[in-house]
Amino acid sequence: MVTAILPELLLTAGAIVLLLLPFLRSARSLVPLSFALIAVAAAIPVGLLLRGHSLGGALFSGVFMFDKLTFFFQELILLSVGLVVMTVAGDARSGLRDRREFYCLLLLTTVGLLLMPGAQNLVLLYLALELVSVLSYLLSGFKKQDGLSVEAALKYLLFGLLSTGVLLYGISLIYGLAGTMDIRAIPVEALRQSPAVTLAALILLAVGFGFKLSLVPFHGWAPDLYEGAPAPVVSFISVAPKIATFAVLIRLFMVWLSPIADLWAILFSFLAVITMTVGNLAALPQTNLKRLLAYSSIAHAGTMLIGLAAGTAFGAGALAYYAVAYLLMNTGLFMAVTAMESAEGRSDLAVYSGLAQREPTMAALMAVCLLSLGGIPPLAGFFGKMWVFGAALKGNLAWLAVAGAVNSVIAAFYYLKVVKTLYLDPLPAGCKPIPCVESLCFGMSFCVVMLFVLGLWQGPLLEILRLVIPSQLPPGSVPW
Amino acid sequence: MLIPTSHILVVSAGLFALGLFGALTRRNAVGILMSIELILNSANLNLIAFSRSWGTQQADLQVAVLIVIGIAAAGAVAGLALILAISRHRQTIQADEIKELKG
Amino acid sequence: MEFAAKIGFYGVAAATLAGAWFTVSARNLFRAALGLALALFGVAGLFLYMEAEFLAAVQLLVYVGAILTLMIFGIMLTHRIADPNLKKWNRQSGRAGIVSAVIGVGLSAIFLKASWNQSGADFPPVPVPFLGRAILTTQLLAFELLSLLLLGALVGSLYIARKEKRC
Repeated sequence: MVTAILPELLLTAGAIVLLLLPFLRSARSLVPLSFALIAVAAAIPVGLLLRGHSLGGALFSGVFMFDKLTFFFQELILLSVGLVVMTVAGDARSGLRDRREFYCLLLLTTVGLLLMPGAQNLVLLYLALELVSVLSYLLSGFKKQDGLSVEAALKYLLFGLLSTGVLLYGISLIYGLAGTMDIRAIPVEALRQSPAVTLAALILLAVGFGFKLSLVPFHGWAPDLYEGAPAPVVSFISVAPKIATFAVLIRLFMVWLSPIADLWAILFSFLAVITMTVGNLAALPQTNLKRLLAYSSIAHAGTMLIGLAAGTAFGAGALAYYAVAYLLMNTGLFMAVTAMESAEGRSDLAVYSGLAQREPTMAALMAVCLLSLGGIPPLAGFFGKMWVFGAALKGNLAWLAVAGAVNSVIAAFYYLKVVKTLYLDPLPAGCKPIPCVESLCFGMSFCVVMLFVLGLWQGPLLEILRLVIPSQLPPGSVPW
Repeated sequence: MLIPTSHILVVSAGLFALGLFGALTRRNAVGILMSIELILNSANLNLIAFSRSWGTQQADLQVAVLIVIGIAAAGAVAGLALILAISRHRQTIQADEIKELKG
Repeated sequence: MEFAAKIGFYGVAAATLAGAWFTVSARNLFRAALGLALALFGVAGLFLYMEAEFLAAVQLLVYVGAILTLMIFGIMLTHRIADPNLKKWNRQSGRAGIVSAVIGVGLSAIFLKASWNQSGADFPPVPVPFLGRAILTTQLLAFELLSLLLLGALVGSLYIARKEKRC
């Protein structure tokens, strides 16, 4: 039982040690130590699996399910947090990288994230979600000398506490109908008997999860937070919690609530369409790259939601594929944003004009991430979109696939606009070269190489996804 | 004495709606935090009312409510810390006077 | 006796809602905090009616004792509380009022109509030792996770609220 939560225990112990050891005062020691902790935490379950240990199944009186789905998403989350630590190491301006409290909170948040995909009990689920949320509010306010940044964090906190409160109210209604907090034991007939209450509960749950995924209309916090908070924190908040929340949604809705899919699928389809459309249209006129990325991440969450709305194993697999691609392209791009923010102190698009003449390598890496986000083949982002739309078509949701395709065109437009800024716009006079931080160069190269690998050589990931997606799901004609 | 579950639910629905109203309309950040506490309380009321009506897992649900109270405390602490940091920068904490960032 | 208890219940419920109304509508935030205190006391009373004595005690200790005190600290940090020119609600209050009223009435109607599991049996109240047992068995993981949340909130809040020498 303990072996299943060894990564969490290690990260907890690491977070406390980071706080207590007096000689850890600069990024020079803090970054390698945190990175090593995360790497070991990621390696432990892999090592145990290779040595023939089986995954634990339902643990701690059934509240935590350690199965292949949990394992896959935990590794993804650890990859994301590892890349975020590399991003922080390159953030020379905000002073975050020399604060050990930052790493302590980052590791504790990771513990919550790791428990989310396996949570089988609504209380544990709510608690893990709140652990992640409350610590994210604090992390986003860490640049306390910057009033704007703290105000964005406060706005995020107020939005967040409200929506998780609403989520808790929805959970209480589910308990009232089901008589249990264990999501495996929810009797679906009981939910069917009171459709009005069930629908109310589902809407309340959608508000709570929609906030974490920044779905429209619960996205109001995102643009301000992305603009105000330090780039590494934004990189963290925009990827890891979303992936963990999607894992929760796969387990809660697709696996256990699939018998009442008719009630929630339409809700999520609707949310997906308005989220994609509003996100993409609002991204078009943005002149600040971080704000633009806020709307872009809103739109991407909407696209991933299509996979969920499809309700099939195909949809879940497509969603997981998209999550991997999104992790790589978004984190890679935020590394470039961090480098620019450290060098210039702001992230207006104007700062990026002519970057190709100034830093050709960085501009090229950035361009690949942007093209992948825009869904240009043969990068992983394109195939993520393709699988998600394929799942919608196979799930008799052709209108969703069409809406998604139209949105991809709009999205490609504004990403290409940024690429044009990088390559065709004139370089402002008097620019200094951007100091290269090894961790950022290495991290960006890793993301870009992986985007090509996943795009051109899809077999292995599809094979892994086929193993990971729970067999209870309706197949929906899996293509792999 | 047995209170019908639905009567408690109506009280909690009222608390929930009032809390929502306050959270959406209050201009002061502390006011919004207080309204959110009302929402958490309404959910706690629901949880205990349902645990009474189901009769099973009563202890688990009471512990769940204890956990929610703990979470509420942590959220309030985080909010107050941010408010304190902002009050160093400026004199007022009116949520919609935070205008430097546009919505 | 039965009748008196019923009257008492509805009295407590009304006081709770009245406190909540004060919390969201009072112009002066100190009054709002007093309204919140009334609402929290009321919820503790409702817990007593549902025979959750331990929770009622925790509610008073943690909510009224700690969280409310924090809120009052927060109010004292935010100036201009008594400024008569200050609008208490923002522009959207009309719309938000309608939305909240619809949600409240709608939820109440749904709740009254729905068939809840009401076995009618008078379940014995849970003795406090059972709570301890639940914390250390079925809710063990959640309990430990809560301690991490409190630790993280403590560390982060101290960092953010602390006065830096250079700024």
